[in-house]
Parts: sequence; C-alpha cells; structure tokens
Amino acid sequence: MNQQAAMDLRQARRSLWRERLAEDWRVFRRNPLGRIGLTLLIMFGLMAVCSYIPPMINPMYNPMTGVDPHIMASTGPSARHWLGTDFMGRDIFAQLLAGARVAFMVGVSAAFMAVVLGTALGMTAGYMGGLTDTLLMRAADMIMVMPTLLVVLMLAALFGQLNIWTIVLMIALFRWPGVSRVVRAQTLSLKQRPFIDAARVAGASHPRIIFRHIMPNVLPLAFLYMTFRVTSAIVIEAALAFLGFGDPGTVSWGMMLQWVWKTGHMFQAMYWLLPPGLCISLITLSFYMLGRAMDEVLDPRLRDETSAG
Amino acid sequence: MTLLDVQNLSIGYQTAEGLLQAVEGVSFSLEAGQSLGLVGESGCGKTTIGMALMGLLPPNGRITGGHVLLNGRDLRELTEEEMRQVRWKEVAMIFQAAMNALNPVQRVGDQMIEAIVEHQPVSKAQARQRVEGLYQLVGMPVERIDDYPHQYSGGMKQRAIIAMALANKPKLIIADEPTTALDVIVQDQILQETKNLQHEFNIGIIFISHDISIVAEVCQTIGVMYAGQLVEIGGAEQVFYDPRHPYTKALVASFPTLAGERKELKPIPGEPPHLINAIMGCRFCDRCPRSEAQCKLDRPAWQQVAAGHHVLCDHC
Amino acid sequence: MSSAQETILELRQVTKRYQTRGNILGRGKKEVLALNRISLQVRAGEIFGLVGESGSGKTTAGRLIVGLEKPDEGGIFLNGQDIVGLQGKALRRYRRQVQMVFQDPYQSFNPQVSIMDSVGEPLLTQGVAKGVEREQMVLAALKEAGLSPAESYAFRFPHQLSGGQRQRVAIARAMILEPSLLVADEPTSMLDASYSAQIFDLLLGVRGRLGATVLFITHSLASARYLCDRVAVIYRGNLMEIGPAQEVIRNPRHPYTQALLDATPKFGRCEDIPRFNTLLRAERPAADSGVGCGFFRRCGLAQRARCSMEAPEFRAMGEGHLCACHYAEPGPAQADQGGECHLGA
Repeated sequence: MNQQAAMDLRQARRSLWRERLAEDWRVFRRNPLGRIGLTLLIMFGLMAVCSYIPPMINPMYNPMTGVDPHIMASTGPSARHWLGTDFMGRDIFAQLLAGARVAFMVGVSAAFMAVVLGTALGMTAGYMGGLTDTLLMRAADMIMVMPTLLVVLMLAALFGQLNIWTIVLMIALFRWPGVSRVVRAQTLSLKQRPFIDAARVAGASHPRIIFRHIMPNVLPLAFLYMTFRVTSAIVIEAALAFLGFGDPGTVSWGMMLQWVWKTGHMFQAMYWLLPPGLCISLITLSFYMLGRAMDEVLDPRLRDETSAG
Repeated sequence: MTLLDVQNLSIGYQTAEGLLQAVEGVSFSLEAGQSLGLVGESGCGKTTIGMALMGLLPPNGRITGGHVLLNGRDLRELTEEEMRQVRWKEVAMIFQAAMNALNPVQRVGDQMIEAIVEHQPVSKAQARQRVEGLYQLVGMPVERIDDYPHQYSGGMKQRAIIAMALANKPKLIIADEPTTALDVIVQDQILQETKNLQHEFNIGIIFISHDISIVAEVCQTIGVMYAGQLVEIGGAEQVFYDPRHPYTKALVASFPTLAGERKELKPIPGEPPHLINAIMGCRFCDRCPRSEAQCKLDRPAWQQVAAGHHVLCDHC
Repeated sequence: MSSAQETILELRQVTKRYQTRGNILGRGKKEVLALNRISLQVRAGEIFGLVGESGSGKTTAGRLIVGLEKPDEGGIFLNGQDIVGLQGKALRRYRRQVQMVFQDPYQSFNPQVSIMDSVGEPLLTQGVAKGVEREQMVLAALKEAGLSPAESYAFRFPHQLSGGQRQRVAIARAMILEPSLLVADEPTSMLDASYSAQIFDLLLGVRGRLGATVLFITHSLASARYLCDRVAVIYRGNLMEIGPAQEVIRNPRHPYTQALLDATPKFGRCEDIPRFNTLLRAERPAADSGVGCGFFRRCGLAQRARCSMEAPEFRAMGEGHLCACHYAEPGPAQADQGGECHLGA
C-alpha cells in the first residue's frame, strides 16, 4: 500500500505546482501588454537563433568579417542583401541578427548577475539588520548615485577597449543596488509576518528561514526586477558601443549605429540606420512590457495572500 | 410610514470565473426609528447589501434585480448625482474598517465640516458649531476637533465616524461591523451610545455583524443570512430564542454564551457553498442535519411560523 | 480538571518592557510595560485561559512562553526547568514540548509553501521523520484536525483554504510533534462565529485525546467560560484575578473583571448573570510606573493614596480564587442587580 500511496502523493504534489503555473499563465495571458511583449521577445529570440544561419550559407554573410566582393560602399536593400550592406559591403541583415544575439547575451547575463547580487545582499541586509544592514545599504546608496554610463565611460577611457564580458560585469556591478533596496524592504516586511514566527516555533534554523521561507517570497519580485534590469543593460551597452567604447570584436546594434555615424551615413542610409535603432527600442520595450505584465500576475496573488483569502 | 423597503434584491459580481450571485432575492423593510440586524458568516452577502443601499458597490458589482425604496423612492432609478445627494444626507454608513475611513492628512473636524457644507446651505462657522454639538453628542471632548486621525484611539475614531454619520441628520444609518476592531468595554459604550442616539433622533439602523450577541443587544428585528439569501427574519426574541431555520438553530447552538449552564456547543460541519454555480434547491442542505433528497432540488419557499416571523425552509 | 494537580508551566515574576519608537528626534520615546511581574502556574492537563483586552500583554505572555521573545526579568519554568535563555539545540528540543497556534490564520502560513510542507516542517526540523513517512504523518495529523479527505487539503496552498480550515491546519501543525503544552493565541478572533465552535472542539480534543495542556489566550469571557478550567484576567500587563473559570466569570471580585462582564454583550437568557454597574472613570493621568495597582487609573473604587502607591497582593476570595484588589472582599459578589436582559433594545 505504501508504494502506491507514495506514488499518489508525488503525483498530487506535482499537479499542485502545475496548477499554480497554469493559473499564473492564465492571468498573464489576459494581459495585452504581456502578450505583445512576449511575442516581440520570441521574435527577437528567433532572430538570435537564426543569426547562425547566414554565415553557413555563404561566408560573405559573416556579420563581422564577411564582405561582398562586388560591393565597395554601402548599398540599399536588394535580393542578395535584404537590408543592404554597410560601408565595407557587409550584410546588414546578418549584422542585425547577430546584434539580437549580443543583446540577449549582454542583457540577460548582466541583469541576472545584478539580480543575484542584489537579492543576496538585500536579503542579508534585511534579515540581519543592525550594522550589516547599515554598511550594505550605504554602499548601495553610494553606487546608486554614481552615473553608471559616465563611470563606465571613464573606465573605458582609462583602460582602452573593453571586452564585452567586462562591460557585462560592470553593468551588473552598477545595477544591483536598486534590486537590493527592494529586496531588503520586502525581506523586512516578511520578517515581521507571523508565518516567520510560526516557522521559528516549528524549530526552523536561520538558514532554513531565509532559504525556505523568505526567499520564495522574494524571488518573484527579484525576477520581476530582472526584466527591468535587462532593459537598462541593453541600453547601456548600446550607448557605450555607439560612443565608441564597445567591444570591437562583437557586432551589437549599438556598434552598428556607431558605424552609421562614423562613416557619415546617418541621414543618407535609412536602411542602415533604422533597423538597429528600431530593434533597440523594441527589445527594451518588450522586456518592459513583459515586466509590467508580470507585475500584474504577482500583484493580485500577493494581495490575495496578504488580505483575507 | 415605511422608511426602507427592499424588495427581492439581487446583486451580482462579475468575476474572472463568471457572475457571482452574492445576494439573491432578499426582501425586508424597516420602519423609521427601528433597527434591523443582518447576521451571517463572511461571504453571506450582508456587507454587499449595505454597500448596495449606499450605492457604493465596487465597479464589478451591480444590482441584478429587485427594488430598493427609500421613503417610497426607488434608489435604482436615481442618477449618480441624485444618489450622491441621498448619500450621507438621507443614508449614512459606518464602515467595517472605520479606522481607515478618515483621511489621515486632514484634521478630523475639517473633514466633518466639509461633509456638512457639501450637503447643506450653511456657512463654515455654522458647520463647525454643529460639529461641536456632534462631538458632545457622541461623548467626545470638543477640544479634540482639531486633531489628526492618528492622534485618536480606536474608540475615538469610531465615535468620530459615528458623529460624521450623524452630521447631516440622516434617516437611515447602515452600520457594518462598527465595533469589530474594538475592545469589549469600548464596544459596549459605543453600542449604548448608538442606541441612545437612535432613540433621540428616530433614526432607522441596519446593523450588520457576524456576532449574534452584538446584534441581539442592539436590534429589534433580526434577519439571518446564509450564502446570499435571507433565510429567517423575525423579532429578536423569536429568532434567537425560538429559531426555526436549521442554519439559525446551528448558529445559535455554536455560540458560546455567558448565560445559563455551560452547555456543549455544536459546531456547524462543512463550509458554505460556492456562489459561482447556480444553486437550485436549498443552499444549506449540504450542512443541514435534517435535509431530505427533495431539499436539493426544490427552491424553498417562505413560511410564516408566527406573526412577523418568517423562515425560508420547506420543513419548518 | 486533571486529577494530578502537577504544575507544568510556571511564570515567576515575569516582566517584559518594550520601547516605543517615538518621533524622528527620539522624542516621545516611552517605555511600555507589557508585563509587570506576572506570576502564575498552569497545571498539567488543564485548559488555562488568559483573558484580556488588546494591549493587555496576553499575547506577549504567549510569545515569551514559546520562546519567541525573552523576558526582561523573572523566570519561566516548564516542568521545573527554567527555559529563559535556551538557545540552539536546547531551544529546539524545548519546542518539541511547547507549540503555538497563532491568531491570524491568514498570516501564519507561508503563501509559497504547500499545506503538506507547512504542517510537516516541525517533523523535518526536529529530525523526526522525512520522505513518505513524514507525508503519512502529516496526512494523519490533518485527519485528526478534521480535514478529510486529508489528501485533498495537503496539496493546496494556504490561500485556497477558508479561514476556519487554515486554523485547523494550524492546530495540526502545532500538534504534529505531540507537545505537552499548546499555546493558542486567540485562535478564533479572526474567524466567523460559526467556525469558532469547530476550533473549540478541536482544542478540547487536543486536551482529551493527547492529554496536552492548553493555554488559551482570548478576549472573550464567553469562550473562556466554555473552554477553560481556570482563567486569569490580565489588564495592561498586570494580573487582576485568577481562579476556576466558572467562579471568576460568574462571581468576579475584581472591579475590572466586573466591568468586563458588564460590557460583554449577553446572548441568551441572562437573568442569572449579575450586573455590577461598576464605575469606570475616564483615565486618570498618572505615570505608568508599575508601582501601584495596574487598574488604578480607570477604577471607580480606587483611592488615590493607597491604590496608586501600593500594589495589591493576591488574596483568596474562595476556593482557588485569587484577586488583586485592596477593596475586594471574600464571599458572594455584591451585584447591583440580577442582570436585566436587554434583548432587542
């Protein structure tokens, strides 16, 4: 009987989580912002994945090194080059696809690092309180008031060209304080909630209270913040690249814009200027919309659970 | 003359899962200067009725049927502007969470003066005089008029809210759990105060609570609600000493009292039904000790068991 | 009442103070005396009621007893062993014997943790059982608490249950380690009246079946009378009166208990309830020094010279009935009138 019963229980446990996810998904889907954002993101995702295809078809479609041997200057869209070519005869469409890959890479990894750091430090500060809290939060304040772009620009000027991962790391290091502030506030309010007392009475240790009881309540919020951080990371990277401090070894949308600018095609070649510009706006917009929609998924649930169910 | 006549009132909420019929077919009437108590568990629709009488249903709620006649005038036919005039002037409400009904950044007295000037052709000075009178009436020191809400204790806020409800001399007051958050001694003082003021000004009161002992202390007529329906209505003595509906009986039997011998309480098993689904028969039958197969199918009808004492049950 | 009159829990001269925050400059910072030299004994197997209004310190007492906070002075003894200052392993061991049910069932469960994991948490942290065995124990505990079929409740989140059901789950969680003492902090005050009786039934079962002692914290004289063997009445951190429940509630000797009884809405035929019409005065301005009688500032009987300076001793009013008032006299209470019933105004 025990075997069977255990199986049933395991199944019940699994269906519990499935139900919760299905419920969240239903709320999310009702939100038009979320639907648009998600659709756009899936499109950009496809672009990133497809960026590997053109160089395989023909080496001249390599976004960085591929040059059309017949073209010496920037040309408009044609059957051979759907979005035209840049000043060296590189395919703009292939660059655009590669740029999507870089945007995801930079945005998601920088945001992820910022959120992990911010969540860990915010939870520590909120839960421990006292001197730890004061020190961490003062540090956060100090970083928060620094203009990220300016500092990164100065560093770039000091150390010359930056590797794309260095840029990611710097964005993460400058972007955690906002997350940690929010997480700390949430931790403080959670710490006061009777269910933490209940856990203590049940004999839970401090690590258990932090990881089992506080973290699951903080993570949705941290995840929400991640979507907003992605936006800011992409914008910062684009700005750096446009100003000429990007990683010269990668093709990002900001880099493309810089090439347009530097070669004096700014107002001559719309086919070259518009695609990367639009893509930056749309990808940041779509992450933002996704975040707003997630906010609405989380909010009623938090409301439901804090007030009378 | 009948002050308030509620006929066959039904109220629904539009929710994600469909129409939630929070109140269905509720009828009662109230004479001037009388008090009616509505008791029932949370979710039984008693607060919804109060809100509907005030014309303050949330955006997803609406009256789906029936009439509400105040002094013979159907409130459902009034425009929003006319309703605003009726509100506070003719019908006032003392909310469940009265503590939060006061604006925290405005002096209590100013809020009340504003409420008076809004509805009556009086000057600010006259209004202030009236507020002072009201403070004396509800037993509050007049010098506290210029305090902010956070400087008041829970009991004082509650008194201020009562004073505010009385400010425009309404004919009907709806009191929704007005003392739930208060301590016993303060609650007692406020209940006595309310009763005195009611007699003095001949105000009709609808008193909404889940606590039958409080309702029993204040009201002459008692309506018992269950799952959106009124199931029993009658004089306080009739309903509480001679309950006929199985739900009322169960409610009374599950309530610890100070009176008489210590007797065993009988909990009501189960939970009330979900109101999303249409319910054909009696709503209490799943928890009823004497339900029959037929109860589930037939819509119960009102029976008169004594003068003024009615029960919504076919087997009583 | 239990025949073995052993003391399981004892509070000896327990004092707890809180600092209020004051304003931004630290002005208006006050010390509030939450508990003022409280002494009481709870006997094994009884249901002991601690009755008081909000701010009386009754919840603080409960939190001190389960070790969520520490007293500033005095000792708390379980089976003769002082538990103040227990830490780490010792504190965890102590919590196998003493558990708590919290007031607000909507707040005392982690919204992200399933009922199964909430109820099973003590089993894990105390290393009693895990895996399938733990799940079976949780299901059994839920069944005990009247939630059946238990499987259909175990795999849900707290917000999917009603308040009454959650409070049953809370009792299941508290009783899963079979503690010898259960502190129930106003377990029914957030619930509809119709659920209260279910919870009372469970608490009676906890005592009956498992032989646990229950400390029932409440503001309601009526539920204390229904449930408790003995009660203590507490006002602003001071104990006023202790005795057998029926005796204290039907024959109260302390002016505060009398005022409380008068103010409680009566329900039912109440000709036999005495009415005292004790005079409560508007609060007298006086420092909360903790020196005199705790009720001095509101008491109608109080004489300034004596009551504000000299703390009244507990004096016996009857069999096991103690009252801390200079002016209380033994014997039957002097009621002003055999309470009139004011049903229906």
